Amino acid sequence: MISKKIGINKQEIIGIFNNTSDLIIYEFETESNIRMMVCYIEGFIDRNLLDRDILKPVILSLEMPKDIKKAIYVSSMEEVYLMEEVADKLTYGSVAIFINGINKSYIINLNKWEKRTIEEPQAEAVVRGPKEGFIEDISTNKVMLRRRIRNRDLVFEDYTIGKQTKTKISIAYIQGIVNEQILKEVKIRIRNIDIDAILESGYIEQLIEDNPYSLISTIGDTQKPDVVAGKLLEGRVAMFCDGTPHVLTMPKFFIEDIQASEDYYARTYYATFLRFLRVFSLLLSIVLPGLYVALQTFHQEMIPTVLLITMAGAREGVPFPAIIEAFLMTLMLELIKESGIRLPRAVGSAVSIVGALVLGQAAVEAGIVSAPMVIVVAATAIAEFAVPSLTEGIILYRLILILLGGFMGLYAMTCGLIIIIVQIISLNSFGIPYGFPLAPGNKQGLKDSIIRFPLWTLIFRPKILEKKNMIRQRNIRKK
Amino acid sequence: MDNFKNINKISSYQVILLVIIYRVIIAFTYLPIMNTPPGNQDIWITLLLSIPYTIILGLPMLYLSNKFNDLTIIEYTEKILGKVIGKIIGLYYTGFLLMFCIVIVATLVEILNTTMFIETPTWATTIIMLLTCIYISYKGLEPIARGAEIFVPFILGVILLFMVLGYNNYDFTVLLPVLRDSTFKELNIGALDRSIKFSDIIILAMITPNLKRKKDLNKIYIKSIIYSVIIVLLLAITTQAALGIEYAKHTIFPFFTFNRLIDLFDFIQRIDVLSVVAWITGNVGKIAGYLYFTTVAFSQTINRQKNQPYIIPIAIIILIATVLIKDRRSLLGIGEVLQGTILVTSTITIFVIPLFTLIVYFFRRKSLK
Amino acid sequence: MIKKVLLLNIIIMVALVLIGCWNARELNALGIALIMGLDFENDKVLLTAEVIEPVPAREKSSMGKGTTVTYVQGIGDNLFDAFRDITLKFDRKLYIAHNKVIIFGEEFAKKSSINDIDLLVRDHEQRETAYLLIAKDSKAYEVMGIAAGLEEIPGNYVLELVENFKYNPKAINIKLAEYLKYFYDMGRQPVLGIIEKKEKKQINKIEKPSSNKEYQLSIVGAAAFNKEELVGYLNGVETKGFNFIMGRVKTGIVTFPTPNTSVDGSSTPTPSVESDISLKRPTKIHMSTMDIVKLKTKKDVEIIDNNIILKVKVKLRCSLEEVAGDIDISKEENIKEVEKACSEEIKRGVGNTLLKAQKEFKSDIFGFGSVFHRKYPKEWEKIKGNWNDIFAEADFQIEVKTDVIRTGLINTPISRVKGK
Repeated sequence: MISKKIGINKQEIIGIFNNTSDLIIYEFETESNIRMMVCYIEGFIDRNLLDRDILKPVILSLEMPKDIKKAIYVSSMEEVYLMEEVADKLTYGSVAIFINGINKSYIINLNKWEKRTIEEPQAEAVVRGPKEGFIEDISTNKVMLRRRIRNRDLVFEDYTIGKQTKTKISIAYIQGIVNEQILKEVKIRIRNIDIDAILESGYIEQLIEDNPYSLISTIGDTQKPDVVAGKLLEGRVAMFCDGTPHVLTMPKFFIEDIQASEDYYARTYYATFLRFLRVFSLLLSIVLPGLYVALQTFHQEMIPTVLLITMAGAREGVPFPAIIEAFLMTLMLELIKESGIRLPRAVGSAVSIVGALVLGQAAVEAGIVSAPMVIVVAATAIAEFAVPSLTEGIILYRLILILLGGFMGLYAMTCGLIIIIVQIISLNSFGIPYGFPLAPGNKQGLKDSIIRFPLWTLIFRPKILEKKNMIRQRNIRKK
Repeated sequence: MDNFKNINKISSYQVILLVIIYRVIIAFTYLPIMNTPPGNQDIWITLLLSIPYTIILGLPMLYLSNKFNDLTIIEYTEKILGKVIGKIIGLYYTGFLLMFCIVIVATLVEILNTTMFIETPTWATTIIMLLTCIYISYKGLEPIARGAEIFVPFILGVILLFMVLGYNNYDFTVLLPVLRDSTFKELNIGALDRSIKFSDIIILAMITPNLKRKKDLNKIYIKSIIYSVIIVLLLAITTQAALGIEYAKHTIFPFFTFNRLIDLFDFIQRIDVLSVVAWITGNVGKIAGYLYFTTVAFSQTINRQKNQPYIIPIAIIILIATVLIKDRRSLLGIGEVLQGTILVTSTITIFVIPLFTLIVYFFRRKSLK
Repeated sequence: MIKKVLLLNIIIMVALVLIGCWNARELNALGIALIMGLDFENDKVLLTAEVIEPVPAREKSSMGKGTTVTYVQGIGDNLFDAFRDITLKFDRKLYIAHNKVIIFGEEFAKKSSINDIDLLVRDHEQRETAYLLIAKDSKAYEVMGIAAGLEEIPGNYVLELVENFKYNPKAINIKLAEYLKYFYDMGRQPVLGIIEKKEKKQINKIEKPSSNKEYQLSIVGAAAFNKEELVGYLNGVETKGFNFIMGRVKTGIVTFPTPNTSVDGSSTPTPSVESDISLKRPTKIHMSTMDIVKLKTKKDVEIIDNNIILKVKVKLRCSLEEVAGDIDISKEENIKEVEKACSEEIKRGVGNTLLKAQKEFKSDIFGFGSVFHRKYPKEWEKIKGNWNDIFAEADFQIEVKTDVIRTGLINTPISRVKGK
């Protein structure tokens, strides 16, 4: 409870904040001798606004304590009666005004802090399409989305999670398109979260997903507002989390990793070609090293003769068995990748040069690894980047398949691959089969899967996501 | 989440794919039609003839499944025939499915060990297969059905690809003269033999309660029989045309032998990797499915809801049986005992028992309602 | 759940470790065979295989060393015994999955070879696409190891020779699978390709002071079987006839005597100044050549008054490649003469081959039996036991129709002056 006496309030608020040094408390008197106190957190608010639009008019012209609304020039102000609540508001960048003799506090939101400028997200660079990406500030992010969908049906719902961090998160959906069932489920799962800290949306992702033990995530993640807009329009729910540019979309299908926002902006043939390329590179990056090992150690009869002779030549004098070779090279590749990211830019390029020279050329010339293996691993690495959102899963799958291929050839590899695929298609994302529209199959869904049909033929939204507002457009080319 | 239940049921498309692949994979493996009478160029007629036979033989089962479309064959047999007989028949069905499991695993292991892993002991090959299948069975029917949508088109695609690529090996004159070298009797015996061994239709009776649209049962039944026979027919004809009738009879894995012949433009050669992968995939699907249905049959026989607890014990039984059988005799090279056993048990399973149940059902119709 | 996952992982790991590469064969432990020869040596099977010596790519480029091969031999009671004999003489395991040519020594072929190659079909390693050849008048190992072409590897040299069949129908290429197919066919006897060692005419002896004679291989001809028994050889021309009957000719040439035509229209004859001399010269038969563009053969059998008549209908489209002699081919009637002459030539060749198969081999290597089976299934049941005898006695009819569809860049032969 807020006391009428400022002094008590001051003591209390200092107590609540454990005497923290960045809490600023300023006591003053107005012209008409009303004692007042403002509290805020340093660097969190716009000092100019506070001085010019609040303190100055108050000091100069406030006559009766109750008339504070007449005196100051702000567009929103809350009246709070509890000290705890005041403290909460302060941590979001508000200013609390206490007036002697009034047992409430006036809260004005003046937050302002340093933000990163909006720029193109490096992980999702595009040639055609909007270049802007989300930033760490949730309100800016929401605005970016609202600018794309200027529709009153776009709804944001805010939640605060994290007992310590009090992180603001917000779910977004389009009323009338969203599948109510999924929405309800998302809300339930968010309310069930009971954790002390949310530092990134990855926390939420792991807490609310259906299959925590799966190697691949069943919740989408993007940094681009146009992607989020597209997903919302298909009936999904998006979740913004303060403090991170990564926005979650759910439910997610496997096929989304193969789709890219650019596909819809490019011509249909090219988009289809790109999708085939992605599927191919996905397969390649998972299977290729394992297949190479399996063919080389078990199924030499299935290699074309000329290639076999070349390969046999390359293997001559290599000290390790093929499986060890493949394992080592794959791990080395991951190492180069990882250190390339972590190291400072200047040193990073040195790492790649050393990696290329030492691990590629020198190792082959010294006869420690065979040249085809280097080619295979390099091809795998390149292929992997075509489907960036699956990288986490791909690497582990690849290592497993190398092991299996080295131990029992194609047989074990096929079994492993089947397990992987069955595992993927047995997943559900918020109750929706993850494999949709491939398995279970759906005719409408398949139009926008590996082949992207012309835009005007994609008349319906994915059937499985929502039931009511199915029609996306009228086929304008149909006579 | 009630509204998702409908999605998670099995669509008729998935069932058709399952039945087709369970049938086709046998042909893909060892094309038993090559050595059933008449065993000459007229086997395609035999296959066509077997379509009506199969449809007629399965009618009792189909009728009952339509009547009791919320129950599996185990459950309605028990309902109609009473507890004691029902349980015995339930156990018989479990045994039948189990036997099929063992036969498929043994066949697969035999082929793998003759063509690829000569020095590997039987149990090792078997364990890898069973681990995969246990995993899939644990996931339940939906992943199996969803998997069918991915894997079956792939397998059929591979089969088709090899048929196309083998074009310059074909000599279709071996299929002539039509209907001259075989008698009417031989043709019918062959057709009957084929249709009796079409025991995969039993999974339709096991799957019925999970169907999304139960009205489609008849359609599924007829479609799956016709499609699968036609695919087997294509396999048989192309293999015969490529290898010649007599050589095809000599080989144990005729289609695979035919695949090894493909050599086009100097670079499309030795592509049997694809064939092997597709074949293993199909077998995994079939074994996983049969393992699943065996456990379901067993758990329903002893009136339990969940089938998961029985998967591992049954898999262990399969492992032991396979190792025992395989380390004693080649199943495919000397196949008489096997074919005989399948013939008898299969007749009882898909025809005799359902017919008997049907007759009892007509007598007890009123009391059942 | 976590426990289960862990347990499963442990089981899989343990299983994998236990299984531990039973059948793993690293590439550097294999001796990849490319060509194989089978012989009888004192009633034992002698196996000769050509194994590739892999050379690391870096050495290949730096030392200019090409791929080399080495030969291994094993002897045993049967083929597998011979195979295993090699393992104690050669340091790597012989790997025959890439074996592309199998050569039978003549003795091996004569002593019912089919019984001895059961292994090649029963075992999965040998591919059924390998070509079968018979070393005429020699042992199989005698024809191996000769690389007279540009290919460094002798095995590939033989393989390329066999695959050159498509340019010249004087040889034949039969794969293992085809051989088996024909072997099992009641109405057809197998035929195999042959391979011979031929001495090369020495060229530029000074530059290459080789002490040995230089040899090259030739695959002209074919070997005819009666079931498993080798009954004789066809020479090049007869093989061509055989290929004509079988319709196996893809491209190839027909050389025939240029017809003499009296019909001579506007064009003046060759300068008559030297006619006296030419009269004195022995008249040389000029030969012309056609290139086959497309060939189609139809075999037929007919029963007329209890006599079996074998019919061969050959239809071919050719382009005229070489014309020698005194003929103006721009004339319709002359071109007809040419076509007729060509047809006659083919007819003679085909007839010779047929006669040889009938009289000498008494073996239906053409598959007339299958044709008969298709056309008269009932009669076939009665006679299929002694079809070869019936075949040997049967009459035959040959029809050839030639169409010249191209005549090259000039019309009349260059030896002729066209005049106005």
